[in-house]
Amino acid sequence: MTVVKDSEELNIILAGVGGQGNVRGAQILGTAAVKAGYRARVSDVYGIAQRGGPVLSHVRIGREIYGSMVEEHRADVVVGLEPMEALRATSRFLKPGGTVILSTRPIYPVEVNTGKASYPKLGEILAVIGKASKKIVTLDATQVAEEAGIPIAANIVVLGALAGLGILPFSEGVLKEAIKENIPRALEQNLKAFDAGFFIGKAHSK
Amino acid sequence: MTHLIAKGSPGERVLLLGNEAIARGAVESNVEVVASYPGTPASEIVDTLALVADEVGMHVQWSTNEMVSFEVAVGGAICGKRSMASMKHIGANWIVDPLMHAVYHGFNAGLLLVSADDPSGHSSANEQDNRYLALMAEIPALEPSDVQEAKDYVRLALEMSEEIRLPVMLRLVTRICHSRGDVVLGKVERYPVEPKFHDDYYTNFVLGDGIVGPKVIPELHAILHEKLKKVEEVATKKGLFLLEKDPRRAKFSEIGIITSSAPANYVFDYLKRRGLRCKVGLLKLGLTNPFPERVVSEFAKDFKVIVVVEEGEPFIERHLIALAKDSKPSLRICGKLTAHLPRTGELNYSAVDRFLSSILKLDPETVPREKAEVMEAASKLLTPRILTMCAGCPHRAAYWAAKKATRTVANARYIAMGDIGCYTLGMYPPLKFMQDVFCMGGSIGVANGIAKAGFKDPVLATIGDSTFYHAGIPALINATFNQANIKVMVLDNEVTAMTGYQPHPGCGETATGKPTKRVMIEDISKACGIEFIRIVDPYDMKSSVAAMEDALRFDGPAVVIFRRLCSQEYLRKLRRAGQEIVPCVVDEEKCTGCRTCVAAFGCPAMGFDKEREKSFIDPLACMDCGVCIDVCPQGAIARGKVKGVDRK
Repeated sequence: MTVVKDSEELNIILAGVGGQGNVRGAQILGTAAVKAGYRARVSDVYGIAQRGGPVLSHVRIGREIYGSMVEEHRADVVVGLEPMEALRATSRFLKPGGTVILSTRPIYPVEVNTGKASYPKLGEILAVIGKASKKIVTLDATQVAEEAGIPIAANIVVLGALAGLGILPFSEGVLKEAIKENIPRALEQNLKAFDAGFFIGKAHSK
Repeated sequence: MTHLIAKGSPGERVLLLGNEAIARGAVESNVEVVASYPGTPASEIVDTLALVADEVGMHVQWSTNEMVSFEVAVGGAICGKRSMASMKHIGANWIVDPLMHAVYHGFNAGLLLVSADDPSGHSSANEQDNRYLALMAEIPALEPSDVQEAKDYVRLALEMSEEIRLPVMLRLVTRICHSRGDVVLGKVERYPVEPKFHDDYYTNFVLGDGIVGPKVIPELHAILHEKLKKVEEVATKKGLFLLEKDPRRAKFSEIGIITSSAPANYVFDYLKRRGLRCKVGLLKLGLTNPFPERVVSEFAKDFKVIVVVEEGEPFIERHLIALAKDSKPSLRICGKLTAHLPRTGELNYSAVDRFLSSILKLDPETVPREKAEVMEAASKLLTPRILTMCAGCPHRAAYWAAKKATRTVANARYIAMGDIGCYTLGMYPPLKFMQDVFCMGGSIGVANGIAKAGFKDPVLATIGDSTFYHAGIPALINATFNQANIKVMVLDNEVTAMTGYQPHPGCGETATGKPTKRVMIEDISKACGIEFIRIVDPYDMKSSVAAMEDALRFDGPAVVIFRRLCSQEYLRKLRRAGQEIVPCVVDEEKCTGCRTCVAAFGCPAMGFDKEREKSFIDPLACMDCGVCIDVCPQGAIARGKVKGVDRK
């Protein structure tokens, strides 16, 4: 577990597509940070569509932080719930040598379905991300969540992976408390999904 | 389940969304009447208050539109109860009329106007700085800079409103409304006030000479100006100005920064990162209208250069220029007007870093070399995600049916005006149904004019249910009154979907979940004199196409109501009931790879496998509307099987 000192901060970007639970995931992280005694700033950037648009959630944790948006090229971690969105966020926000967690299941943009654009291969995406990131954890978070009995909990799975990696300045117990406060239904399956993600993150933590 | 904003105890530190903090502020400071119309980024204020209204003894409503919501708040304040109306920046355009009158009155209880700007228009059709509305209406505008202040300023604004006897605007921006931060909660004080009518206007003028006209109006206006003179002093007492000056007169003694609202945080982060906090003069304004001339003059007199960091229009900057013209002509003022900061769009740290570094003669941050390479490589792979309606959205089906009807009846020639809501997205590919869009209710109004301009092809207006109640009705009456041959498609998904599924007058339920009488769009249309009214289920493609064909053939204004619950609301209901979706499936043998479903209809639950040249349906995204079954020219899509049994 990392400790964030007075002058330090931990900056995390969660990237996904509307409907994937990005905003809730960021809210849970922020809640946990406040519980652990830190200041937290969380900010969500999304468009007018209820579903299908890119969503970026910025999470800042520290002792003295002000703005609620992570500065460009200053994110310690990018958590991508979708490969292309993970790339988009990495390109703009990840600091050189930062960590990326990437869920491999693509959601195709309309332009790809209409044939006007093509969706890059996962290998191409990972190759570019690899130039910026020292550590990439890939998983199919939706499948992991499905196995936990709750396919929509991909956001909780990646939070588990993040905790498993050991980069958060608080324990997974605090994060679980925050999940309990912010998830209205199916708590048991959500915690199961979290644990499955945690296990995957833990395996990559060394 | 009660919400944190009602149950949290004083001193407790919790994470709140900016809008939740506003709600908590209203709970803490005994606001008793709250009204609003949904609009991003302000919606969650009333969404949250509605959850606790009964518990804390507060009247909370979604009103028909912002104008009504503000008038409701006036009604609350006139009875001596602290009242609040909240809305997005464009929504506040609707309240200009009642606001311009309310400023000549005076109530015994605070009246708060919460107005949320949306720089960059993340969820809006324009950028608009509502500090100019405060300037025009001559009311105080308070600008909190973070989530804690968002909560605390609610009480301060109400107290100021009571002391000055004027409505007070709390000017928010998206980055405050939609940011979460740690907030220390205050004490909840609830004390029901016995409603008692009082208005200074009535007491002083109506009961006085009884003449409110050309003689009295300038007098009322003068009273308003007298009230405004007290604002700066009240604001100073309430600690709305944060002042930091270097006592040791260090390196940057010639430069001072003035800021307000969300961008203040970029300044704080900058100064912290550069080790300059308290080494550069800083003035953060919590009040920007009326412009605090004394505080600003006092601050500016020590500096040669003033740097203004603000979001929206150069409001502070222009006031400062006017102020310095006489009092300190040598002062150099840098900001948006000097192109140090962009004139449009939301500010961010990088823009502030470049600005402050250039003035302070420090090195700005640069893009790390390895990142430049990554950005270049990524740009070749990335595709933007254009705006789209959800899987199973009834609007998509309605547009598909209408398009079909225009082909059969009008050789696919028509002009359609859009309106404000999820259905606006029907303008974008692949449907591209409407040609243009304006404001709330603008579809029917502009269509009236197009029809009267002698346009030969059918003139259509598409408007949502909530928008119809909000702003569509006067224009519909106008269509009857002036006999405009327009075809109005009401896309009724039985909820205000785009802003977060708030109830409207057709839902039969209030903001706080109490049953109420449904006001039906067909009844209103009839009362507006419309003779052709048809109600269809957009999932029923055949009936929908037929209804639109008949409407297009009808000579005169016609209304077709496409009624079907929002797919996201439907899914939520299913989840709550523990029911599951059985997704539709593509029969690969029948699919010819024509791409009609993905390229022309564009349901996001459908994809196209390039290698196999077949469409597919994502079982996790499909919500079983079955509209694609009618869309597919090959009949290759069918309802999924349940335990081996075919469904129709």
